[in-house]
Amino acid sequence: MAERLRSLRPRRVAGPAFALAIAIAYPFVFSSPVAVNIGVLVLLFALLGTAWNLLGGYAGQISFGHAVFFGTGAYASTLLLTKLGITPWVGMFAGAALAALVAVVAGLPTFRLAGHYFAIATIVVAEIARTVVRNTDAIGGARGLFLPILPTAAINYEFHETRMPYYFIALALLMSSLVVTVLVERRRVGYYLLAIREDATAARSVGVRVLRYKLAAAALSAALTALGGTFYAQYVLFIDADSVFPLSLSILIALVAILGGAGRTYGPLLGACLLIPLAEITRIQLGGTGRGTDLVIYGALIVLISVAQPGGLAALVETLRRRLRAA
Amino acid sequence: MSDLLEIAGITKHFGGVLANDEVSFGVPEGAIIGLLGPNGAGKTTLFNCVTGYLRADAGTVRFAGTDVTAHSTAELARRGLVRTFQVVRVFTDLSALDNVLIGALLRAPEVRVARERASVALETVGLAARAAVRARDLTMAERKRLELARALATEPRALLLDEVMSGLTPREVASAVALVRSLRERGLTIVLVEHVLEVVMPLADRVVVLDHGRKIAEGEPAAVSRDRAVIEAYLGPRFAHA
Repeated sequence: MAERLRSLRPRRVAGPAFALAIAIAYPFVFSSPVAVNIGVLVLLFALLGTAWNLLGGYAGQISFGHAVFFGTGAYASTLLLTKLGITPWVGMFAGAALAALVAVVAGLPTFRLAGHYFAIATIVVAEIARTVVRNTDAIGGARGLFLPILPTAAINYEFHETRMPYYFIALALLMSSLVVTVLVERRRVGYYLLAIREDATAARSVGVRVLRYKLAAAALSAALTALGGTFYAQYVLFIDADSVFPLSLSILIALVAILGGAGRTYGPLLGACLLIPLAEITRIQLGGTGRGTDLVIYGALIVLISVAQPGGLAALVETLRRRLRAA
Repeated sequence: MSDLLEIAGITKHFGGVLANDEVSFGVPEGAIIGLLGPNGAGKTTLFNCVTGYLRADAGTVRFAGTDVTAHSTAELARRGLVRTFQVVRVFTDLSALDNVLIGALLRAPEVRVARERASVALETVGLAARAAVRARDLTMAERKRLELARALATEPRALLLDEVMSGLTPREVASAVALVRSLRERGLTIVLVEHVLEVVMPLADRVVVLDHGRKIAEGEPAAVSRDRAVIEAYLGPRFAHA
């Protein structure tokens, strides 16, 4: 009980509560479609980065293939909707379950690989998935899938007049992923994931069943990522292999988390707040000059941050806070 | 007294190198056994075979009456057979307390209990004052103690310590020796790998000596240290006549 009370100390709640207030106010203050769209993308990528963080940050298994889970979520809920008329609110959980299954099946062989070899294997798995989806006509093949335009209604997960509902759905998804992260952090599984990241051999020596915990982290991470996939499908109303399974998406998800601070609760959220607006603004401003400019800017930023603070933005914030308190 | 750990006929090849050649010995419950031998004698390989890190080519390991030859490292830890590493392996980015907490989670029902038990284990090895320090910021001697505390926190029946004394100053060795003695007094069974004879001799009830993968001597420390084969293995044949 004392533990529980301590975890609700005002100082630990103040930061998140303040951030939440800003997040709620944002679309009312910046209500232009472009601004709300950027807000939606920030929340979506914060969700994806937070999901990635469970596997990549806490368990230390760096994945460059998370688009597989995103695509699985998007395709599963969309196919359930178009073929069987099942609402995406149900479809998103089916997608999450399927993505978790994919994570376990892909994880069983790849988790035997260490470090860089695992990262390479995740790229291979994701590229295979993209190619298979692209060439399977039964699920739209290279033409992709259009979602039916249904009347604006919460039950339909479609809102045509304003993007506000999407913004708040994305916010709710992000908050659930953060709650999952905090719950994991405080439990046995959270400590075991850190042990695996730090030294799997030593973890085994104190009884940690390494493969089992890696699979659990992958399944949880995949399921949360798939929720983001369903959200994307409902938001854009069109999906194809190149929009929901690409390597560039996998890399962006990993970048958001790593830049923000892998293995830190709010790291990916910070990463998304910096990276996504930057990407969107440079894309809008420099859209005509070729697709590489925004990537050049991320690249430079990542080099800067990793030189200044390898723990990412979250570590930078911690350091600043400590200095302010000391001053 | 029955043997808690029984090692029978363990053989391990690496390509053409015979690292362990039918090594057999028993470890009675509550004893301290020294496993000696010059560098490259196959001591760590034997540890790896016993604790599930390597699969032996032949031979069996029995622990507490059960054949555990094919068991995984994690499963052995659950049964109470835990090792430390020659090259110290701590969770470098975590605090000393969290390192030990992870060990304590093996038996503790929840994190809060594990944290309390971890504090006790840190106290046992004399690291209580360093609980909040990140493992990477500890000295080598402290890291060795930390690894020992992490192993103790799993509440093992038997501890296999792989060169816990190496790289320590004489003063640190003395306190490590006292620590190992105190562990035995709590009923723990200990196998101590060392290549330094002076460390093991005063501690061990019995010693086993390996050379080129083969057991060349076994018995009371004083007797073994006069054994001709042992002197040859350590100093070369020239000294065996002395």
